[in-house]
Amino acid sequence: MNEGSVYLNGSLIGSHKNLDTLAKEIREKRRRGELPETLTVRKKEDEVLVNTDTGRALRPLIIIEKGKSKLTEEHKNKIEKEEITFKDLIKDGIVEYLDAEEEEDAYIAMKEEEITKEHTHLEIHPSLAFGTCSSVNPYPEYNMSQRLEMSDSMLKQALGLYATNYNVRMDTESYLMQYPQKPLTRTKYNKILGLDKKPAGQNFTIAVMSYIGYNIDDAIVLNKGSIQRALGRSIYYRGYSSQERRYPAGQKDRFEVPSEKIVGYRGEEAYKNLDENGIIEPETQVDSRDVLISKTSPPRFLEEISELSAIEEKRKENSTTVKANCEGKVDWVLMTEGEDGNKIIKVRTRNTMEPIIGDKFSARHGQKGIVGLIVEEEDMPWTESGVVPDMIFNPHAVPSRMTAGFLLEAIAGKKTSFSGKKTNATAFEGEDRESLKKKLEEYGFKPNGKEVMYDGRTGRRIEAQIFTGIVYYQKLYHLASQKLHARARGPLQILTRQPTEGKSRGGGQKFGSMERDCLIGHGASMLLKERLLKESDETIELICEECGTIAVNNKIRGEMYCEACGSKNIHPVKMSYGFKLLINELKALGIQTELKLEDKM
Amino acid sequence: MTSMKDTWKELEKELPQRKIQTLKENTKGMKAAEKRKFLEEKLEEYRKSKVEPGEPVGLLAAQAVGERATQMVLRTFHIAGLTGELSVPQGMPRLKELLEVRHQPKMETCKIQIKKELNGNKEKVKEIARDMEEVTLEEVADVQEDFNEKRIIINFNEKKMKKQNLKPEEVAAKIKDKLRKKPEKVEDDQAIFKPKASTLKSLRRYTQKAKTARVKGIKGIKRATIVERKQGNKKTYEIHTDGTNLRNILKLPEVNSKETYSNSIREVQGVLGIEAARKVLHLEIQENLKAQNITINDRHIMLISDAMTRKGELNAIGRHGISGEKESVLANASFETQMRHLLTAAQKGETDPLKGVAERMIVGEVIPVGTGSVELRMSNQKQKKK
Repeated sequence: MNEGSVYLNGSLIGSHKNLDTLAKEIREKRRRGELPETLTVRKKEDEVLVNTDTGRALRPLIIIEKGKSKLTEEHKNKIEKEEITFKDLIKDGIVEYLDAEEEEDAYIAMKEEEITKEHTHLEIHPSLAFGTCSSVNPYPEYNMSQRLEMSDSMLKQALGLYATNYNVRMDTESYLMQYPQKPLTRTKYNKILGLDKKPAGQNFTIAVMSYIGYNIDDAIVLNKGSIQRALGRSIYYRGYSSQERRYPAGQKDRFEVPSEKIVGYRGEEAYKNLDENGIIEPETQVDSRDVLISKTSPPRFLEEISELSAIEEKRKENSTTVKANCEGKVDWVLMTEGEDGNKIIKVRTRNTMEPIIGDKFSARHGQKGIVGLIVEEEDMPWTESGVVPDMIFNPHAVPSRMTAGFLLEAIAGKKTSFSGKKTNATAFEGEDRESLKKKLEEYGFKPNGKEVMYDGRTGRRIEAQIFTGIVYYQKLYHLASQKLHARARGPLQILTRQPTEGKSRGGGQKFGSMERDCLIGHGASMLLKERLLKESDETIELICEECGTIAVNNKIRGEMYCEACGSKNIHPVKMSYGFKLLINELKALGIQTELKLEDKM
Repeated sequence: MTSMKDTWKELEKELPQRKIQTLKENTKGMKAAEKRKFLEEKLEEYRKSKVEPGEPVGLLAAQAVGERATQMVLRTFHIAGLTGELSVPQGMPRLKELLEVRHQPKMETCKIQIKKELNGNKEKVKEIARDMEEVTLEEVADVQEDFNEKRIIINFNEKKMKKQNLKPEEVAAKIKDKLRKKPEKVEDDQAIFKPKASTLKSLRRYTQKAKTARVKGIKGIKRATIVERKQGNKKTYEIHTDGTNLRNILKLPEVNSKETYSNSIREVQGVLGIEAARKVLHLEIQENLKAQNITINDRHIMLISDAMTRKGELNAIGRHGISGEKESVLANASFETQMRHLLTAAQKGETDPLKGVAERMIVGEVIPVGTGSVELRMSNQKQKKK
């Protein structure tokens, strides 16, 4: 029974007469440090599996020997005094790593009190089952896993203090939250992960109620007074850079205010904020398309230099301008030198972003929402003691998502704001509901967190009692002001002459195949023609009536003729440029298309 | 006041005969005034539910089915792994089979009704079902080759033969047809054939032929089960088969040929004609959707089945069927295999009259649908006056 084969990393390496002792010995050697700590052993019926390869998820567990945890009070004290570290525990054989295979041989106790003689390992802490992001969430064990996952991914989108040296960085794009706060309801991982030093959110006072329909479907209503007191305010930095590049034949870019003769001159108005070197002054207000760094470049082709006047070269204007939706104040101007000795100028603009309608906010329970309305402070509901909430949250967002943790956090936050001591909400050890209820009662609140509130618009008491509390909210990266885009006229694609696509290219709104089907289904032919032709690629082509090919208009001689047959019987025909392109492409294939003309009526 | 007869005449101008019939049945026993009001309402309803001229009915049918079909795709993947006894593929796979007019659907069945005199007799129906099932020689006998003498020896299994109610002579006769050779010897437990086999290889081929030879039943019927139906107190039985052979089933004297149903569109088209195939197609699609708890207006599906059968033969939906047979070159080229269409059009020197929706959209013209389906034309007479 005890005899069998031994495998190393899945391949058979031999057999052994006593597998139990073999496994035991390997394990002990690992604990003594004679074998690597990432090596794992498993005894499986008549075989022993030893694994050392990469890609196995390992987790640390405290070893139990003879029904006693090897981690003693002495160790704990030493760790607290920072005399020993986690690595020492592994070296001393107090903690070891198990992989999925060896886990099958282990009997793991969750808590120290649960230990019996059969147990082989003790969990370091049950909350270690959660990952880095999840463990920052308060009361994660009360939430649905899907919501927790959403919350994890949104945590990464939160605006906060992204780097402590933000003031001397020249990022192309960066966001910075002003006045970030540590969460009132927190887990111990907040401190361990350093989130206390670089927080990304603020504690919002919330009231869970509806507000004249402006918080339907996850929308949130914000208090204008709170916003004026810098709630959810962030700064948007945008960096620009321009270089004096050298070209062959000794030509060079030049930072300068261009003269009127230069190709692409933007007019006097555009350069008014620049100094004599063509660089903008700090703290000037700039709008989109304003010039930040003005530069002239030599002509692209040498032929352009001389034709009539050989001396004067036609330089081109090549300035850096503020991008759309990036207006603000010039924050910082920097002049430096590149690797190849080129002069580089960098400019950073800054814009303060108060929350506006359409900005995205999220609590740490997957409860995200868009600002639906910003209400004057006097119109917000208030409580008996005169507290006006920062935010109104819709009650329908809770039952179907089953985020009980959100409600617990609200109560815990309320309690914390009176006790002054932060509430521990780490998974499986957070302060429980009963204790929170008791504390709330001590501070003169109802234990269920509800309060009598008055409508700010009418002054009447609201019939129902309103659940209020304090919840940690994050402002997320998706800001409405950065996404705003509209187009009436604008750039066209060169090939198809249809409007461009995407915000950065000033594109139009896509009218896709399903939208097209919709219009056909309604029989709205005229509207469809307008969308597909007039608002897109309408052109007038000259067609020869004799041979049906595309004809030519010679404007100098003032005559229209067909290049194929020489006929002068030419008619203008309205069509989509896409169709004309198709004709041309077919021509390239060697297929001639003829258009037969006919009177419209 | 018009008389009731005149009212009916009025109705007959607009309503189809079948509607009139049901209305007559439903209004029996109504008072005259009440009846008149009811009929007026119904007529108004009928007028309202008519399709307006210029309505893009084909597109609407496609959208109606397409919208629900997307849901069905999501749902069908969740019931994977279920294998019932007589499991017809359901949901999306079946719908695809029907619309693409596949040559070999996954599960062809026949619902056979027995004539009234017999359909209450369970034993008799069971017998009919058993006689229907296809039995090969292999199932009732052990077939051996004798390479020395170049002959095939068939040892009958007595038990199995009895169970199938077969006699050696009958079996031998069937084999004779298959091998085109008289048996050398037929006994109670053995039959010997000597085919015209010059080589051992051809002998083996004959043996295989003999093994798979059908000794009983109808070709293509793998299994036949009887199903109980209750009509009030009376129990009736019908036969459901795995595999179909409508032509031969209908020939059986016990079968009620008017109410027997096959779910194979191709077969129905071959045996009963295109109109029957259209009906089966319509029923099968609707049945399939109903099983998925999806309701689509009958008219959409009728339109689809009409479009698929209007040429007198079954046309699949898709590149090889109705989508690929449009008049317009541009419309054809805008749906799959565009190069093929453009090149053949160029070879033949085809002309596109620009009458359809797709091609007019490409060119940038008003499409002949809805508001675009009307045109202004000058009357000839007025022109002359000028």
